[in-house]
Amino acid sequence: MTQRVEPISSGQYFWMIMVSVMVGSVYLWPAYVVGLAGPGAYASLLAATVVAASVTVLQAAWMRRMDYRSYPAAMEATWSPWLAPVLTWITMLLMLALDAVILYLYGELLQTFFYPATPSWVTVGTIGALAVWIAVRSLTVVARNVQFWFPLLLASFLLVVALSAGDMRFPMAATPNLGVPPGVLARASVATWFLYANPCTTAALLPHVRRTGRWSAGTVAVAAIALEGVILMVILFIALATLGPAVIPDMTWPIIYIFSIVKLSSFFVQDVGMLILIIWTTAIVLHLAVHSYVAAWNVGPPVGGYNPRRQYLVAGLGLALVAGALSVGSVAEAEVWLFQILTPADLAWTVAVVAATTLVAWWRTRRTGAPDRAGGSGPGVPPRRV
Amino acid sequence: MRWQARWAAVAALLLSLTLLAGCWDQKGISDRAAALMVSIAWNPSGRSDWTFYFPNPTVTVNSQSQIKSTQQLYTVAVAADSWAGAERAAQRLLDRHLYLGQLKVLLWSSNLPADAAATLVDAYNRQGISSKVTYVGVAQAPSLPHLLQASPQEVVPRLKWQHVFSCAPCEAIQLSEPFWHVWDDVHTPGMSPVAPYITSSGALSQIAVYGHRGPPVIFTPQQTLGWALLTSRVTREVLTLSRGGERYAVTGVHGRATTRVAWTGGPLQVDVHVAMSGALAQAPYGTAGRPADIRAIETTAARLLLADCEAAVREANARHVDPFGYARSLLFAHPEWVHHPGLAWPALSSHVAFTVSFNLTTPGVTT
Repeated sequence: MTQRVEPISSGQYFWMIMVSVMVGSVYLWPAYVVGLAGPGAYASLLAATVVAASVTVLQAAWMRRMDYRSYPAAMEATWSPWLAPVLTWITMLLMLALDAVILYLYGELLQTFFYPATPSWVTVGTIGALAVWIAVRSLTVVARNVQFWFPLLLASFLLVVALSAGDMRFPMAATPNLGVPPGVLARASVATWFLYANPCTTAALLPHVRRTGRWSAGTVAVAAIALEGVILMVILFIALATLGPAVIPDMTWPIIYIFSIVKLSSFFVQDVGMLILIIWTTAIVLHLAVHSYVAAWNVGPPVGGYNPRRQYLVAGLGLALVAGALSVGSVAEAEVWLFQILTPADLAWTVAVVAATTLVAWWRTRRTGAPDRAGGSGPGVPPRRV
Repeated sequence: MRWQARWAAVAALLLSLTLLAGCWDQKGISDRAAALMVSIAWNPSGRSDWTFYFPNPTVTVNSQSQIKSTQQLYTVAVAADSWAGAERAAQRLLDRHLYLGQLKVLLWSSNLPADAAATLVDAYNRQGISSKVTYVGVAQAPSLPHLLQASPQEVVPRLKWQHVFSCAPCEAIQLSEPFWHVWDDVHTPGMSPVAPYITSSGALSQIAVYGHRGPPVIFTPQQTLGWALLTSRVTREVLTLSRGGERYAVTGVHGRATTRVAWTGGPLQVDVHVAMSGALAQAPYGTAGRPADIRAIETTAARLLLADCEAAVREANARHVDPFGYARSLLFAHPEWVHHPGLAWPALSSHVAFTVSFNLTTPGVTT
């Protein structure tokens, strides 16, 4: 059975990149990073954003250089048919572990602030099931869902952020501190990485972007990362100016706390912060859907980007995600896993693999400027420049 | 898609919607006892007295005129030594589920020491479901029973103190503090938490300042005005001055304080410029229009306010508290000094240089 993947527009690509980073985990932020670097956190955030943008640029350049029609095919052509799946699987398992911890923490957040009597396996399981439901569809369906919902979510989120600006007490506490030692800043940058971690979404979707506008797909991806960076800066400023740098590190979910104190007296609905329940639940469903979609696609066989068994793989990944989330013992344990083990591991792995992949790809194509076909992109699938 | 699969999908979607709405927490309003106010009378030698105030559910729009205002609320009083203990004890006396998400006012008695107050504030803040925009007040011990006194203007489910604290135009000095400000101040170094102080007669013109330990320092109304001037909280104060045997009144006094804090060892060096303005409301007939008179009234008013500021700083330094947050703003500018041994808290005092300026306007029909 062969089936072509219907390409997506560069706008859909932009929103998919945005939803694949940050949105699923921003509710945890910025307690840990402020605890490490205080008002120096801006610099760490900037560094993490630059690393994320660089990884994106390298991935886009690599895909273009290899001129392949799918991520698994390009990996095989760069490495070898037996090494490529190993590398991809490690990337996907790291991502799965990160997502599982993030999903667990989100379930705990829901239980703490909104549903104290509802068991957290109900919300965690339902979110996982909904993510799988979206991710088993075709690329265009996933992309259309993201393109429709995510701008709405982002607009509502920014509305709540704007309303919470009225509660700022100490704007002077939010001015960047340049006196933080570089070592501390580096540690804080590493701990910020989980916001940008994604299972090679840029490279995996890039061959399937319709070339329409004047911007190349790589530029669109970098723009998405940069926009995320700006939104994170605004959130960091609001958090520091509202609660101050001394209190934020003691909080598990500082942003939801800030949103829970937003009250409108001149509007029918007083607790506008409640919007965040809908915004984040939908955002995390889309985030996990894009991750599972891309992960299942990347580990599949390199047949033109289409894998007939992908749906079962997505369901399996979703099940593993929910099982992983439910196996975490406590919030404290989850934070150790997230900030001290998985995030540094994912950062080191991503940077190493992406850098090595780029170097190897350049080495292999140094003479011809064209890809080495030894890895094979499958019979009957002509290469296509994207 | 075959029709069975379509129906299965619709059913799964409905199921997930129901599950994500948190059915286990779904409780009707008639099954919840939503406390509007909690008051805590501290008992140093044993369990404290906690009183939960609830709206009377039998009050309807029709019955309102027949029910006395004191009966529109009902209370549940328990003795406990912690938040959790108090909630559990109150729940035993209730036939509905106790809910703190709608709490509007949290009051405690003025004999509650600072460390116990901090523990209490932490315990309340820890609950995700509890309202963080609740107003906090300190009631003069041991006179808590008057708290239920309701004015005939109140209609359930609103309380007198909720109205008092949330009515911005009612306050000449902005004294009300939402809970999350107090919790934030408790944990921010260089700041003494402040809460409005309610006297046994129900008057609200003072503040209670919490130091490191022990009962709070109660500022007099004059010191409170000084504190409000230095923290830009004066919104519509009235000043009465006498000059040359004549009485003048200035209304709508408001303004801002700009503060610069520096530290080079020893006490904090604080420069404050308080720029206030107000409108002349009463003056001997025919005298107030002259520029020389206006300047003289401005000078008198500025001097009067300066004395209030000095009184507030003197009291703060004498009692080792910093309700102005001077040390806090220094630490915000220099976060690396948080653990500096020279900035030992609470022994640090502030040396404050004031300038107060006053700008008088003369609105009205006559000059």
